[in-house]
Formats: sequence, C-alpha cells, structure tokens
Amino acid sequence: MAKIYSVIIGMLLMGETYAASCCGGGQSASSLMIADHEQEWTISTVLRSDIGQTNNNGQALMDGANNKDHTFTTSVEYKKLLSSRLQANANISFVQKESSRLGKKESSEGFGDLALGGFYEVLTNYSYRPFQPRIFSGLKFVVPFGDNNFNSRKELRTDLRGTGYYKIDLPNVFVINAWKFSITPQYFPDQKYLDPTYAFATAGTYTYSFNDQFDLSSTLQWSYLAKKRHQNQTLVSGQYWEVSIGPAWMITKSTALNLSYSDSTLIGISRNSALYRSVSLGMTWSELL
Amino acid sequence: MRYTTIVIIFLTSLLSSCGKSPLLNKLENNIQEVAGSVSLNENFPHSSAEFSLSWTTPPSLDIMGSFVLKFTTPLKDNQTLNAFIWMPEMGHGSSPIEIVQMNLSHFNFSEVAFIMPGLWVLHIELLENNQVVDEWQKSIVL
Repeated sequence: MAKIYSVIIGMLLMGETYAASCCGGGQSASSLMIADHEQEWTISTVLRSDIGQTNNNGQALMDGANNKDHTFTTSVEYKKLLSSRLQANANISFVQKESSRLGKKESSEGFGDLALGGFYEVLTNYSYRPFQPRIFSGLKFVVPFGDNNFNSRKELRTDLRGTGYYKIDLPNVFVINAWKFSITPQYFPDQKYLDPTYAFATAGTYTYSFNDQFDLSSTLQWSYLAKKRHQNQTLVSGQYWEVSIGPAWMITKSTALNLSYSDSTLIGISRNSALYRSVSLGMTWSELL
Repeated sequence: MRYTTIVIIFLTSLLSSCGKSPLLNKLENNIQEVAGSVSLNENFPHSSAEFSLSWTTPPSLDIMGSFVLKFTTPLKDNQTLNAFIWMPEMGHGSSPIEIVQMNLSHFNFSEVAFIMPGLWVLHIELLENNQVVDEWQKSIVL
C-alpha cells in the first residue's frame, strides 16, 4: 500500500514542475520516495493546454477560441535510496510546444530542465504506526535548457520551456497516514538574465485507497512567484492555485500506471499567472528494499 | 473518512474566502480601451506634434493589428518614428512592428502582434537624428 501511495503522489505532483513554465514556481516535493524502495524509475508525459491568464486584479483574460498553446512534456526520473534516511534523485525533461495565434503557427522542442536533488528523513516512522508523522527535508538544483521571458527569441514564445532559470529548491515534506503536506521555498540566484529573487510553493495531498491495487489522489497546490527583474524589464509577482486529481493502478508489485488531471482555473484567486489544464500519464517501476 | 470530509470542507471554505477563482471572475470585455478609441486625435507630449491615429485592423488576439498615423504638420526631414508594444505586467514585448513611411506626414504601421491576452501599452517614439526626443503611449487591454 505504501508503495502505490508513494507512486501516486509523485505522479500527481509531476505535472506541477511545469505549472508555471514561463516563470519558475512549481514543486520539488514530487521527487520524494516515501515507500520502502531501493530505487524507482518513472517515465511520464504531460499534455498541457494554456487557455488564458489572470491580471493583477485576479480577473481571468481568456484566450481566443482560434488560438492554441499546447505543451507536451516527457520526463524521466530516477530515485535511489543511499542509506536508511538519505535518498537522491535526478530528473530530465523534453518539452515540445505548439502555438497558433494571430494567423501564425510556431513550434519548438528541446530539453526543459535538468533537476538534481536529495532528501534526508528528519523524522522517521520505522514502527509503521498509522498516525506517526514522517518529515523529510531536501535540496534540489534546477539547470534550465529552455529560454525564459527575458531572452525569448520566438515570436509566440514557444522557446519558453521548463523553469527557464537556474533555481535552488528547499522542499520540506510532512507525511501522516494518507495525507502529505509540503512547503518549498525556492531561490533564484543572480544569473545572466535575472537578478536574484525567490518563489514559494505549498501543497497538500490526500490519497484514498479503494483496494490494494487501485487508489485515487487529490492535490491542492498554491504557488507564489516573486517579482523578477532583468536590466530595465520587470515581471510582476504572481500566484495561482492548482487542483489535481487522478487514479493509480498497481499493475504488478513493482509497476504502477498513473493518470492525473490538473487545473489552475477552478479554485482560489490567481494573479498574473497562466491559466491552464493538463493531463498526465505515467509509469513507475520500483525495486523493493 | 469523517475527518477527511471536515478537512476538505474547511479547505474549500478557506479558499473561497480568499477571492473568486478565475473561472468565476472572467473579464468579459475583450477590448477595454483601444488607444482611446479606434480613431483618435492626439499629440506628442513634449514636441506637441499633432496626429490622428486610425486602426485599420483593430487590436485582436486572432489577427495582426495595423494602423495609420497622420500628422497635421509634416515632420522635419531628420525626424522619423519608431513603435513597439509592451506588456508592463509581464515584462515583455512582441515581435517588431513594420513601419512604412508614405511621406513626411503619413505612416503605416502593420504586423502589430498581440500575442497574449492582458494589458498592452502601445509606444510611439519620435526620433530626431535617430535619437528619441519624444514618446506617446496608450494602453490596450485584450
């Protein structure tokens, strides 16, 4: 049960890495391996459709019916237990974008982000007591391959892939029973196209188990993106809420299939952020301890 | 299960109290302001050069915009114009606007690409010997 629980949470949060693809933000708690696994491989595909954005007053400006902004993200992630409390992870994504508006069509593809990180289990629950919490603290470095808003060279900005900036995440995850909460401060160091700034993300996930093979999870995430500057250009601060829901199916003891739907239009106020809907499909292979 | 329901109801109530979700807070007017109106008479703030601006293809997310700018008094030989659009809230612009000078008082602007919804500012710069000496701007919300 713990295995499928870990897998489904990871998959549900997977799409959030690209939740604000132009501006950073998102979660890194998805890279945590909660179950008793020696290692995990995950491959996933996320199809995201951008349908508008919100202004500073929280009003939604929906895109025209003839316009399209689609992003396909394929990610491969590897997680490895290094000791009883320490684990490492690596993730690479390949992003394909298609956009059509103003009578123009544009597409672009390439690597999105490379992320390298690790977690340390600060508070353990070796006795498997159902209501004893576990706490994990981590560190993650994000290396971007895509462009960002300050150096985009494409008319319809299809070269904005992934985070777009070098970033350091400090995820903290609290797990108790079927609940999982995460708080992730994120720091953007001084770099070629960005003055130093920060972001913040927090999320809560609940997983309901129908039986040993089939679970349903729902996640609520809030992200805040601080003001970003480069030379005389400024990107104002923004925030958005994302709701995700999806089932997971344990095909064998070591293989799970996951499906998830995410939406940033449904709940909570959003400011200066993209409005999107996404569907993700993933497969995880794990080796038990 | 009872505690879970209570927590979900609590979170939903908390979120609802934070403000309207984007789904319930749509900005219905597609174009709030198009440079004052589709056709208007303006002047540069410092040089007082008067002109009229008429959108031949109004700002839209579906098709490239274009407009004509005519001065009441012709510009000097060493004067010319530059134009660009900018999203102040997002911190970026769009692809270059094509400018064709018909004569010293008549300019055609085309390929004005409003690539996403939101607040845009149209900037028109007056250049003298290739140096910006004056600037006029209007906001456009799509």
